[in-house]
Amino acid sequence: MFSRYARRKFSDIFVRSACVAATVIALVPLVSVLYYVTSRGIGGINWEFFSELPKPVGEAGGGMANALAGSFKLLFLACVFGIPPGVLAGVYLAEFGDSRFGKLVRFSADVMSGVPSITVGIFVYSLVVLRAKHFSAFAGGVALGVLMLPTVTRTTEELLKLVPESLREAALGLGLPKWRATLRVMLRTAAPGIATGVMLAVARVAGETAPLLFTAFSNPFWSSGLNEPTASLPVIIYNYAVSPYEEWHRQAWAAALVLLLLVLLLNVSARLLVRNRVGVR
Amino acid sequence: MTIGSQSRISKPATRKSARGEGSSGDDSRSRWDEVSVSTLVPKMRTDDLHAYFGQSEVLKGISLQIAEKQVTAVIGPSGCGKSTFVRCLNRMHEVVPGARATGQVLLDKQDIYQGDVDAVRVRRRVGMVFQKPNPFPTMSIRDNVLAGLRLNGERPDDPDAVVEKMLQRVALWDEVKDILGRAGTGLSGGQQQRLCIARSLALEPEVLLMDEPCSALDPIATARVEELIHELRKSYTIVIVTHNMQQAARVANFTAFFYLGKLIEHDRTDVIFTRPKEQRTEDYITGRFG
Amino acid sequence: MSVGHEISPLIRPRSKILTRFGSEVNWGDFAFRRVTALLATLLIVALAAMAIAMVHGSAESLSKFGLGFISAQVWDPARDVYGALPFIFGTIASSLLALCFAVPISLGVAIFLSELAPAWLREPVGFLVELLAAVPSVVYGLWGIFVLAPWLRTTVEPFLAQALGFLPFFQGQQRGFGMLAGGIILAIMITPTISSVSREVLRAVPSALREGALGLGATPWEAVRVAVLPYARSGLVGATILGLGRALGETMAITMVIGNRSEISTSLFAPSYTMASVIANEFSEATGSLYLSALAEVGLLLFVVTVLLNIVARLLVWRVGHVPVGGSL
Repeated sequence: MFSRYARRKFSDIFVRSACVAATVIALVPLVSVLYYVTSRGIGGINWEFFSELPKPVGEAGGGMANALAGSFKLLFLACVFGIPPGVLAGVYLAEFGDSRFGKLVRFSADVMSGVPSITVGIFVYSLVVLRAKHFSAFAGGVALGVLMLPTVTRTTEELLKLVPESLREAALGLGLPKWRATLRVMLRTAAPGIATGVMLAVARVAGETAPLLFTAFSNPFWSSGLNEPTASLPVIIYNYAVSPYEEWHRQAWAAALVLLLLVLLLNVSARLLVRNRVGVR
Repeated sequence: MTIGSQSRISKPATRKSARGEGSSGDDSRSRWDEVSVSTLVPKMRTDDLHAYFGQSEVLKGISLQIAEKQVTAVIGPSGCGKSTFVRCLNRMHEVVPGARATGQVLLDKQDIYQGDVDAVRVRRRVGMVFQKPNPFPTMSIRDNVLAGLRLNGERPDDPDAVVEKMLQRVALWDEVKDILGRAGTGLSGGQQQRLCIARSLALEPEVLLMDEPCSALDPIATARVEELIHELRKSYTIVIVTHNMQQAARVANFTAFFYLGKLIEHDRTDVIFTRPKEQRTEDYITGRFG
Repeated sequence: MSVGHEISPLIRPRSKILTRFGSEVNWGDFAFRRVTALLATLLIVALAAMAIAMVHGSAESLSKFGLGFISAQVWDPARDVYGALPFIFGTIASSLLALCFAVPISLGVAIFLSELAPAWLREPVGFLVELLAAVPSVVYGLWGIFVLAPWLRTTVEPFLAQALGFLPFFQGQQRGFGMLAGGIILAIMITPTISSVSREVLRAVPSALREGALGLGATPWEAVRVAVLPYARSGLVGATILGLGRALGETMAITMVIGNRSEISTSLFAPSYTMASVIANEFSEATGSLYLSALAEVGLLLFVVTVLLNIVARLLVWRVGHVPVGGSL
């Protein structure tokens, strides 16, 4: 009896330690990535990095100003293409979505969110780039917007459904038509949570590289307007990292640091936003 | 305008004392005697009102008159249809999917269930206060009061005056005048409910429906809301649903007793509680069921 | 009390158009429903369009190579001959290898966070694991090239070759870049997915089951093993499949460390090539419509497989949340 109990106790402790070990092992790469990106990237962060264009191969120096600007341009376009349709589609699902059509929409959104981002790139390529016969920021923005769309839709739907019906009743009781009650009371109450979901979606899309490879492509110079190929941080990191040039490797680390900080900033702000609003709910 | 024979208000001949004992400004006790039944004007009237949730019939032919500038209480055991009835009075009943109503509901002789009537406009004239106070959480106290107007796109000339007037009317002004910017949900339950009443009143309705407004409140808050109802009666027609008979006795001029979807008896409150005509009414008020 | 504003009439004439086309009483509600419905349709349309575009793009390759595309080994753009087998092999092998690493670790993390960790530790550790998912793929790739691959080449692979070199998996030239690096980096990237879904699944298990086992004198691990895991089993399988789906579609990080050589080998040290990588590397430079079409077909295969896996995974996870308590226990 005693040894059986000891065995059970032992296996309990063994498995528990294994789980702890697993957690530690899972976090080691995170620590390593953060460490290396910071230590190797910080050296490359200087004024030149933020203000200059890349120099031709072989020359030292140069920066990534165009890639930074390009990333912001692409993210802005992604928000324009992804957020308004996503939020309104989510509103539809929350208000009228209990039908076969609604189930089909939800199914499409769920499937779309699991599709590899490179296939979205191929899709937008055939839709936009082939027709226009050139790469463009517009195409890149569409690709990123399509990636954001399902997430924004589902987040909006789920958060709207969390708003208590008593608020809708209050609004209707005050003589508001249904659409006003939904938009100006229900959606408004759910807004902080939806904003959080949107910020997380933007964070995810900010780091996407594959769909940009053949939509926005890249550009060693500034790109003006929406119809030119555009450099972006993730694509530049990729191009520089696989190149044989030390100088470019150095800049890739710096760019990775900037990208990582941007993504972390969005993630953390999103969580803080939720925390601050808990009281108001 | 005399009330038709369909309601069960007692005839003038059997009434105890004529009006004159105290004007409506007076306090509680003489309330029942001050009103002459024969001169009551029905502000609203239902005519064979049936209400359904899907297939199940919840109201079975209600014909009832709501007197103007009086408080009418609707009492009855759980599930008797009193909330449903009141929600039919401002067309809130149909908001629930699968719910519908047939029959007539007349507001000043106009049927609000008639085909072309816009429910949204009905609700401007017939306001509602709910069981659980529901101030808008994203808005301040001030904005909550103005919400009914603002959300409908109306811009009052002097919003601060409107806010003050409404909060005065619900006796909340002194308590919140320094914290108007605070969130509406930051008040106590009783204060929140008074805020919701102020919010409804800002739209200047003619009728105010109250669906168990005090059941989520503590006794002190309840007393203050009941005081408020006394005051509001001077200017508004009030219908209050309550499961608390003592409350009905305290605040209402008229009481309607519902049971299993039917109107059993409707009379002056003192009659209902002292010499009800129906056996079931008597059973209910003496606590034999419900 | 006098009414301070004009009472608008209760009656509001309803436009004939409204009456004919819908049940709404005012234009606002009418437009609201239709506009939002239109945008909701966009999701269905986008998915369908994606599928159609991929089939259309692969048409040429599909008709030329037929089913043989999947089994053909030669990918030679110069001679316009295309076979996807090396990429299919590379994708499946790297993903399965990733699962070998990721599943035990993710399960350990999930059990730790949902059953064993003290309450104050759960949120911070959970947050850190989520952070693994927040790191962009290309940053992992960068780290893979300059940190992981060198480490594998100088430390891990020699050790494996020495200790287990008799196995075909650990033979061949040690470059650091190759299947092993790919498997490891994929494992890192899918761990947060598998562990967070597993956590949800474990959380959906009614605590009555767990408590029942503990009440009978089981140790915490026994309670988990006997009461929780069997109940959650299909959901955990679903979580794994979701992770697999993610691994299959992962592009950048694996492209940067797997070596990008289309050969099929049993050795973990050998370079390989995945479906996503070949598209990433060659799509923008592909000349000739058959070349592009072949790449599009690779993309189509990837699309179909990930969609199917996604559906299966969701069904499995959904089932856990909906099994009634006290069912077959």
